[in-house]
Amino acid sequence: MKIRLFKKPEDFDIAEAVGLVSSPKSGGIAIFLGKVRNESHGRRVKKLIYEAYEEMAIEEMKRIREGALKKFPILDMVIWHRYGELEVGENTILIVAAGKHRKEAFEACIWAVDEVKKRVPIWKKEVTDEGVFWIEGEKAIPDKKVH
Amino acid sequence: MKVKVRYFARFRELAGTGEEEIDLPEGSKIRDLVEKIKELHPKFKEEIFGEDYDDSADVNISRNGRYASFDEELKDGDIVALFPPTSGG
Repeated sequence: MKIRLFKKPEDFDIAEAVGLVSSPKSGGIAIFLGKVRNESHGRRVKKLIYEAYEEMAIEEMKRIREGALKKFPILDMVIWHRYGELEVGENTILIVAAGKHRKEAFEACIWAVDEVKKRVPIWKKEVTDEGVFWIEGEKAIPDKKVH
Repeated sequence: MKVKVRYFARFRELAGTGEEEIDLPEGSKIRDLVEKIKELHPKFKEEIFGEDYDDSADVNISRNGRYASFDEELKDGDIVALFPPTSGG
C-alpha cells in the first residue's frame, strides 16, 4: 500500500517502500525518513506521542499523493506515517518519490513532507524534561493532564 | 437532525470526550454547531473561540473526512471533527 498508517510497534520497511515505486522508468528515487529528535526549542525530548484521526489522515495522505503526481513530473510516491509512543531515534514519517530524474523526485518529496505537516490530522505531544506539551502547528501548549 | 462530533488531541481533553452526538435543527451550518459546542463545553469558549465568533481561531473542522468551512450546511448523520492545527511529520 502506497498510503499507510503504522501503529507502533509496526514500522517501515524502507526496501518495501522503494519497491512499491520502482520501475524501469525511474532514474532517481528520493527518500525522506523523519525521526524523533532528542531536542525541541531547547527542551530535552524523551518521547513523542502521536495520535491520528485515522480515517481522515489516510484520505488526506491520498490527496497529497495525488496532488504530488499532478504537480511534479514524478512517476510514483509512497507516503507512510507512524503513530503511538515513539522514542528518540524512532521513525515517524517516510516519503518516497520516484522520478525519471532526481530533481523532480527531490522537489516532490520536500513538497509532500510540508503538506503532510500542514494538512494531515496527526498530532504529537512532546514529553520533555520540562513537562509535556501539545504541539499545534508552530505552537507548544503545556498539557494540563498529569502524566 | 443528529450529527456525530469527534474531538482530537487537546480538544478531546477540553471536551472531556472523544465523541458525542449533537441534535441540531434542520438546515444548521457548521457555525451553528460550533455555538452549540461552546454552550456544551464552556472550555471551548474560554480557551479556543472567545466570546464571539472568531474566524481566526486556531481550529480545524472537517465534515465527513474533508476540511470544511463554517458556512457549510450540515446533514443528518454527518461526522464532524474539531481539532487543533496539525503537527505530524
